[in-house]
Amino acid sequence: MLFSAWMVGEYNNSKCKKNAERVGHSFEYDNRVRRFGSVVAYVHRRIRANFERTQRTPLSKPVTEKTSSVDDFPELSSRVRTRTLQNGLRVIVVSRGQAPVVSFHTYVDVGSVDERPGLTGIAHMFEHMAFKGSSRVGTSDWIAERAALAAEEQTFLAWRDAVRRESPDAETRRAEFDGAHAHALEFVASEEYSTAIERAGGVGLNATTGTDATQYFYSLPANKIELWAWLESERFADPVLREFYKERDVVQEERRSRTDSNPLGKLIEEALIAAFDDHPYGRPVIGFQRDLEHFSRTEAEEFYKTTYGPEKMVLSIVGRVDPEQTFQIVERYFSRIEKNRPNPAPPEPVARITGEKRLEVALPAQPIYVAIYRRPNGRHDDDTVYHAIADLLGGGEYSRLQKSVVKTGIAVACQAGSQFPGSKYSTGFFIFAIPVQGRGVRDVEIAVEEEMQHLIREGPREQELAGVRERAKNEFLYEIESNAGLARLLAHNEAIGGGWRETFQFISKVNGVTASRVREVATALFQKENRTVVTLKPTNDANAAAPEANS
Amino acid sequence: MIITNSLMYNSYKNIEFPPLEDFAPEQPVVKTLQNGLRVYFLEDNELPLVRVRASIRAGAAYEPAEKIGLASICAQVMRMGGTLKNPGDALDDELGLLGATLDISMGGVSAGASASCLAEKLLRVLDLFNDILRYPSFPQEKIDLAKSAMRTAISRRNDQIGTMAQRAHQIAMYGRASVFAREPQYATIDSITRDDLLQYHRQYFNASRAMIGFVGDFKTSDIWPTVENYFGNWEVSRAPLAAIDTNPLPVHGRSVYFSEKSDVNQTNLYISGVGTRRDDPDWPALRVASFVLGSGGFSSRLLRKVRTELGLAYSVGGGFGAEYDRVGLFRTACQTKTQSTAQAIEAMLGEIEGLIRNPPDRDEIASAQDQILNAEVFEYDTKPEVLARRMTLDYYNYPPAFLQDVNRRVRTITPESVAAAIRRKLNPENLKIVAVGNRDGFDKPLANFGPVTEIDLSILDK
Repeated sequence: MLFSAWMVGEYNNSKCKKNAERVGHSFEYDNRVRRFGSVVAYVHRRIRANFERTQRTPLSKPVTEKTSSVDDFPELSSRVRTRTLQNGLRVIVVSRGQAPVVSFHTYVDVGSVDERPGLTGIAHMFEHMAFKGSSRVGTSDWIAERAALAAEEQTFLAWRDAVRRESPDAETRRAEFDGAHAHALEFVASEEYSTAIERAGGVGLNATTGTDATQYFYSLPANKIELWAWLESERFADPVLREFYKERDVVQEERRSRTDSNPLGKLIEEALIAAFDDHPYGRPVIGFQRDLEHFSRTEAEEFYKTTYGPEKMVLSIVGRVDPEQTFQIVERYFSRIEKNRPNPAPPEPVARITGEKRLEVALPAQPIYVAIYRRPNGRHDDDTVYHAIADLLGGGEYSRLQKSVVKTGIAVACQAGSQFPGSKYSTGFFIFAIPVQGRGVRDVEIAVEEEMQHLIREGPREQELAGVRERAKNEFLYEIESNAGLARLLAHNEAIGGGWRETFQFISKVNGVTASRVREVATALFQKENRTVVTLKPTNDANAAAPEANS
Repeated sequence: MIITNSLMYNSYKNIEFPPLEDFAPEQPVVKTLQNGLRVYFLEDNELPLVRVRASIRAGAAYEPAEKIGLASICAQVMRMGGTLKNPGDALDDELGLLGATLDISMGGVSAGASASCLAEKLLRVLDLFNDILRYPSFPQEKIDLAKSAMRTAISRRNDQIGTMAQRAHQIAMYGRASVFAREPQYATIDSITRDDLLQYHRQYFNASRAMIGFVGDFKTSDIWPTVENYFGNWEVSRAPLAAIDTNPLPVHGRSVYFSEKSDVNQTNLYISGVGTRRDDPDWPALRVASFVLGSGGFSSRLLRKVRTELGLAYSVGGGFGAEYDRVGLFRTACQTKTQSTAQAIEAMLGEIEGLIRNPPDRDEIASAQDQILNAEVFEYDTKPEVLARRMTLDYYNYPPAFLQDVNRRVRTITPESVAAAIRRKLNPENLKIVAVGNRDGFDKPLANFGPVTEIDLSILDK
């Protein structure tokens, strides 16, 4: 999940992981970064093939009839309770488990696809701001702070305007902004919002922004549901985007870590720009540097008002709770979130074959191969067929690419994934490989293509599909094992996957995938004209990026 | 749970919580086989899944200095190569078909094996687990593949600044020769033979160095005979583990360790010193101090200063590290843009010095205590977690109630006791600053912070 989430361009707001502290490390960076770093640096460790675990999106209607001996876990699904508030906000509650704990997941159907060009990164920026509080939380004096924030914004816009006009006043305007900015910070009760959750015993406090959606989540001891309801409704009913310009600096540091100072990050950014030049999926979730230096608090507030709204939100609550009492609490607190009139979602890109695109990115690092093949969105009837292809081709040690590319000594890792970077819109099927020292991306590509042609010619063996089915069942169970995992999956499906019930229909849909359909879909998918290939070309050879002696 | 209030509270601070339901997690059943192997069972019937894990007293620390990489390759080839009965490629196919996983892992001072599967496949997976753990065949073809993968990893060592900084940090804190800092080179990989792997496996993978745990959907009485049958005849070994030096280097004064990476726009920073052990009487107080300094999430001092107030970093944090069987590191870290490198170092040093100058006050301690104690239920809210904790404590010969004991002592921490513990264990004048980045763009020379030692991370030719 960590690896896959990173690959699909989710960015989160984590700093210190409570979990890491709990198991004894005094501190840990964002797990995703570390995990990914270890993939490249220690590729000899066998990579768990889990691209699909978090990104599958079951279909809205069944592809085929259920086959025999399918277990959709009716006992668990029968415990799912749902309610829709008058303002359109949907709530899911599952009572489960012995330990007195509860996990909360807020899934918002708003992501970077909803951004305008020139304002890339603003969805993620709002996610960071959603930890800054309200007029009642995070301030020492709201009346004074409100005035100070208005002055700060006014001076920022004046400064930005002066820079744009290349006015000689720019430095003066900047000094005015610096003063107003410092003044506004005087009223901040630093990190009050997060601290309130942490002191109550909150763990896993975090949020992520992806192309399709923004998610906010944590867990609390089960007697503190009302604290969550208070704070979670507060940040959407009355968000105050204080410390905006400081947090914008933090987000730029996040970009430096993930993209600018990370060869794979750069490669992925370039690959998406090339593959999705016709759609917001081509724009980085983290945002372009020029936009991160440019956008204003006003624009972030505007983004919130025109995209968020209760009808775009799903709350999912899983743990040792009483559903009826939980609904009452949720209704009491969340009914105050007012309906917005959101902008229309971006249109589905028109499917078009534009011919093969190829790009070499020159960096002082070793070769990497990434290929993206365009495919339909996650609600398409063939979604589980793409899932099956990714799994049997590049899902793990058992897979075809492992046999023909890794075990033959061409690459140390070669994986496939079926939904990249999102699932709401026409998206991508990807192949990712790290060549063995002395082998090139061309060797990888030839071997991968041969395997694709083989699949097109002969289709999968029945035994391979049996493996796909077993693994789907296992992966599903591991995902729903934790309260947080089940909460996330239910909320995801309810918000953008065709309804929460799809959660319990994924396995039977995978069971319905046939060999002939795999062959047909693979034939259409693996066309050269349908792909973008982006490779890392080393700017120096063997000892790339070694320290310069005594510089 | 009883809800009496039907209105919204005006402030979250006024919410009255019902008492938390009492919860005593079920503990694993522990059985000992005639060869001394301890086996743990914890039944969990909610979902039809089973996990198996073995902890083994082995690790890269025990490989010879001229064959660094041996332990890691041993673990890989155990799994990749399989056994005569279950060759690796067939094993991959079978596990794929079962939807099961089976992995061997190798750490610095520990090794492990783990498997997961649907409950109905447990007997077969257990058969494979036993076979792989005990009878690996180490086929030459897979050894060559693993060695080539290791060479590839070496060739990519300097691609990512994060891993470069981790390596520089280990070298600075432990010295190049330490088992925690040394790393494979082309030459050490090339020298590894099949006989080395067989010998390493024979020496470390035996009943005397292992413990095994099961958690999931099974009945202990049903699987016990099978477990006894498989592992009851696992060989024992009386040979003691070689003594290894696990201590960090002593730290005298302030010094700087630097390695250049010119193609990045961000510096990776560590500021570290000597930490403590878990069984040190100061540990509960230092745990509280770490929460206040930088491991306590958004409310910690480092976060609030370096990230929230100064906007200098996305990731920043740290605190006193403690290991079960050795002294850990006091470690803080952050990543900041090249141009604010010195500013970030100054801010971090300011917070570290602040622990002495301005020790945690009553509010900060109360906040840390609340965080630790209110979240205590998450230390044992799932059965895999209960099993893992218990096995870890047993592995290091700690009492089973150790965590509860630490938490009980956390409850009694006062400003005086935490300040005293900090003074005993932290001298802010004795710290090493480790930086990897592009020095041309630094806001001040690193020499401002102490004598600078260059750490050469270049890849040795072979």
